[in-house]
Amino acid sequence: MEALAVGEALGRLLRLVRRRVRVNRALDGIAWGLAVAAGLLLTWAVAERTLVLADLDVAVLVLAVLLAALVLTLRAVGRLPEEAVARVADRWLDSADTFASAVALRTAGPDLAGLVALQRERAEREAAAVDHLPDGPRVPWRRLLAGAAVCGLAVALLLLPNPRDTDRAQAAADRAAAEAAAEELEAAAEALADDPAPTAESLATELEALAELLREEPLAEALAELDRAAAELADAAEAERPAEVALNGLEQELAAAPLPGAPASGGAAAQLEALADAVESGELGDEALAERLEELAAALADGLPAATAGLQAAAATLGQPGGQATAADALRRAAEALEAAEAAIADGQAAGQAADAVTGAAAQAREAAEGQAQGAGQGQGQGQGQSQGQGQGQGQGQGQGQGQGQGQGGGGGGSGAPGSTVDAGGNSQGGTGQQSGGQGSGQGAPPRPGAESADGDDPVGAPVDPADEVFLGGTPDGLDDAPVVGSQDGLGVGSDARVPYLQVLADYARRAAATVEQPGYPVRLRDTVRDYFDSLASGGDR
Amino acid sequence: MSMPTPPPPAPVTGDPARGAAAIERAMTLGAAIRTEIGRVIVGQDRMVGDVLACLFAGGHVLLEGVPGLGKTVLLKTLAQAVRLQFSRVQCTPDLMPADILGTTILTGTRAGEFQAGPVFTNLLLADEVNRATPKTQAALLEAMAEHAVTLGGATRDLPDPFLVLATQNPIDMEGTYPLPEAQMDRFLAKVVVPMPPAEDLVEILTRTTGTAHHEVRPVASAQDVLGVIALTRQVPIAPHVAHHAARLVTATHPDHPDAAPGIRRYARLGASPRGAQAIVLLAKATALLAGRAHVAVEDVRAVAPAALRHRIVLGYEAATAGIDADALVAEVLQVVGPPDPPVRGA
Repeated sequence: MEALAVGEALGRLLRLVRRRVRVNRALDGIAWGLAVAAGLLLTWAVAERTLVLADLDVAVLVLAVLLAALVLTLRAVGRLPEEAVARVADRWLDSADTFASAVALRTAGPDLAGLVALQRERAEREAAAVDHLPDGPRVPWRRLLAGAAVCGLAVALLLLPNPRDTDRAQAAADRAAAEAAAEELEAAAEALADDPAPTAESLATELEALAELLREEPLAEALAELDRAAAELADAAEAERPAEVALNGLEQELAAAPLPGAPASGGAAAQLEALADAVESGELGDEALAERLEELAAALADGLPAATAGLQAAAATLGQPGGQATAADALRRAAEALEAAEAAIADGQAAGQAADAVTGAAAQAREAAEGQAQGAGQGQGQGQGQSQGQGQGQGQGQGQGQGQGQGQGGGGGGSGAPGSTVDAGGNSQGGTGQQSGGQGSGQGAPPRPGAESADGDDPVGAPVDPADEVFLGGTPDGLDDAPVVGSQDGLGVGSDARVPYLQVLADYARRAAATVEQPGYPVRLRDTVRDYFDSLASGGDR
Repeated sequence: MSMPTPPPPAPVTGDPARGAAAIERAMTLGAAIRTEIGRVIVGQDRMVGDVLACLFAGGHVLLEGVPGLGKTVLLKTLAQAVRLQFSRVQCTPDLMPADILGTTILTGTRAGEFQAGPVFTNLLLADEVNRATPKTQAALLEAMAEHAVTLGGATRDLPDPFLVLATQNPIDMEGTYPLPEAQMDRFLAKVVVPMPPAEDLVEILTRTTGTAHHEVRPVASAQDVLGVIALTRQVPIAPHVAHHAARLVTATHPDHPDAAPGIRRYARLGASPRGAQAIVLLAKATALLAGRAHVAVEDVRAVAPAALRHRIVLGYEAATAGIDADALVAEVLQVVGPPDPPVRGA
C-alpha cells in the first residue's frame, strides 16, 4: 500500500533531527577515530622504544590519520530511515512515540474510526510546535579528551630521542652489509658458473643460496653459516691439495724431461698414454725406463696413489719377458688415474675459489657491519694475492693484522742479495698469517731482479724456465712453520719492517733441504735447490 | 503480453474529527466511571485504572488481594456504574457447575426448561474464585473463552459484553484450589490490590464508619461499553511498539535467548501468545484512557505486569527463594529495556 506523505511540519522536524544525528555521528566518529589513531601511535611509539624496528614514524603517522579518517567515515555515514529518525525525535522530545507512530502508520489499513488520521494530525501539530531541539550536539568529551591525551603522549614519545635509534642504525648497516656481501657472492657464483670444473655449477648454486641466506637471516647467524660453509669448501679444496701438488710436480718433471716416445708438449696423462703405446709396440722396455717410472711413482706416492700403483706395476713388469703388454695396461691405468685426478683437482680449485668468495664476503659483511675496518696490517707491501700449493718460502714479516681466513700454501719467501732484507707481506690473501706475526702473510714486494718471487703466488704454479734452475716448492705438510690455515682478504698497510737477510738464510736453507727430500718433489730439481742455497750461503759468507 | 501492473491502492484516510470525537467519548466515559467508583473506593487509582483498562479491552480480570481491601466492592461499584446486568457468585467448595451455568428443570409439559445460571449476565463477579472446586472452575472456562456455555448438548451464547470479574485471596490457602494455568490464561489481567496508604485509610474510615451513604449512578450503557471495546481495538499500534511487546513476552520463556537470569532460574513456563495479545489490548485501552490515538512503548511497559504476572508459571526454586512473578516481570522489564532507535547518534 502506498504510504502517505509526511506532513510539512513533521518533515521539517525529521530533517532537523536527521541533521543533528549526523552531527552527533561525526563527533562520535571523530572521537573513535582519535582513539584508534592514538592507540596505533602509542603502540608504535612503545614498540619502537622496546624493539629495534625500522624507522617508519612518518608512515605510521600517515596510517593513523588514514585510519582515523576511515573510522570517522564509517561512523558518520549510513542510512537514516525516516522511521528511525522519527523514533529519535520521540526520544529527544519525550513525545511518547507520537512521531514514530505517525510515520509508521502511514501504511496502516482502513481507518474507520479516524484514529490514524487523528494521530497523524496530532503528530503534525506537535511537530509544528517544535522550533529547536532541546539539547545541543552530543559531544563525547571523555573519549575526545582521552584520545587527545593518548595521541599527545604518543607524539611526544615519537619526538623524544629514542634509545633504539643506534640499534636501528646498526641493523640498517647490517642489512646493507649483508646485501653487499650477498651481491659479492652472487658475482662469485656467476664467475663459478663459467668454470669447467664438474662441481662448479653446484658450487655456484651453493653460493647463491648463501647469498639468499645473507638477505633473509640475521647477519650474525648468516655469517656463522658462511664461516661454516667456507670451512667446508676449504676442506674440500684442501683434500685435493696433495694430488694437485703431485700432479703439478709430475707435469713439470715431464715437461722438463718428457718420457721416451712421448711428445714434450703433452700433459702427463698423454705422455703416459704415448709411453704405453710405445711399450706395447715393443719399442721401449729398458731398465732405465723402469727406473724412471719407479722414481716417478715414488714422487707421486702421497698425492696420486692410483697413478703410483700403475707406474710401479709398469716398472715392475717392464723388464720382464712378455711384460710389455702388462706394463702398457698399467701405464694406461696410471694415465686414467691422472685424468681423474685432474678433474678432482679442478673441483678442488673451484671449491677453493668458492671458499675464498665466501670468506671474502663474510669478512666484508663483518667489516661493513662493524662500521670500522680493522683489517689494517702493518708490514711491508700491500696488496692481495692468492697463494696456493707449495710454498716453502720462509718469509718473515712483521705485520699486524686482524682477520680470519683460510689460506692455502705457504707464504712468500724472500731472497735477495746477501745482506739485503726480505720484504714480507703484512696482509694478503692466501698467505699464512702466522708467519708474519699477523694473520696473513705471504705477500711481499715484487722480487728484485735475481730474487725469487715473494709475492705470495705459488712459485710452483708459475711457469718454470728450466734454464734458470730455480724451483721453490714445498708441501703444506708441516715442515713449513707457517701453518697453512687459510686465506684472507684484507688491506695491509705497509710498514718499514725489514728482516736482515742473513738472519733468515740459514733457516730457509734448512727448510728447503728438508722439503726437497719429500716424496713428490721433482727429483731433478733437488740438487738445484741445494746448490742454490749453497751459493747463497757462500755469497753470504762473502 | 504482460498485464499492466495495477496501481497500489490508495491509503484510506479516516476523519480525524471523528476519531477525536470517539476518543473524547471514551475519555469521558472512563472519567465518569472513575468518578462513580471514586464515590465508594478511596484511592487505589492504579487498581481502578487497570480494571477500567480491562473493561475497555473487553477482557476478564482477576483481582488478588488480602481480605478487606475492597475488591468485591470495586467490582460491585463498577457494575453499578455501567448499568449492565450483574451477577455475583460466592465461590465455595460445594459450589457446583450448575450453580453457575444453570440447569434444565422439568415443567408440567414434560419438556425440560432451561433455567439460566448467573453466568448469563454482562458482568459476573466470581468472588473468591479459588475456593471453588476445579470442576466448577472448569465450568467457567468455556464461558470465559468462548462467551458461550454448552449444557445438555445445546450451546447457548452469553450476553455481550460478558466480563468475568474474579477475586481471590493469596493467603489462607486452606480449602482453596489454585486456578489451573489454562484458566488463568483466560484472564486478560491479574490486578494486585495493595494495602491503601494511611491517608486513604483515614478517608475509608470516615466514609464507612459514619451514616453517609454513597449512591453510585449508572453512567454508561451496554452500548457505550460495546462501543468503547470496539474503539479500543481500533487504536493503532506502530510496528516497533508491537515488536517490543513481543520481546517482553518471549523474554519470559526460560529457554529463550533473551530470557532474564531470574526467568531462567525460577520460571518453569513463560507467557503464551495470549499474553502478548493481552499486553497490546491493555496498552491500547491505556492509551485510549489517556486520550491518545496511538499506543506508546510506555503503555506496553506499564501494563506488562498485569498482563504477564499470572501467565508465568513459577518453579519450585521460586517458592523456596520467595520469588514471585512480579519480581520476575520487573526483571524482564529491566533486561528488555525500551527499544533504542536503530541508528547511531541518537
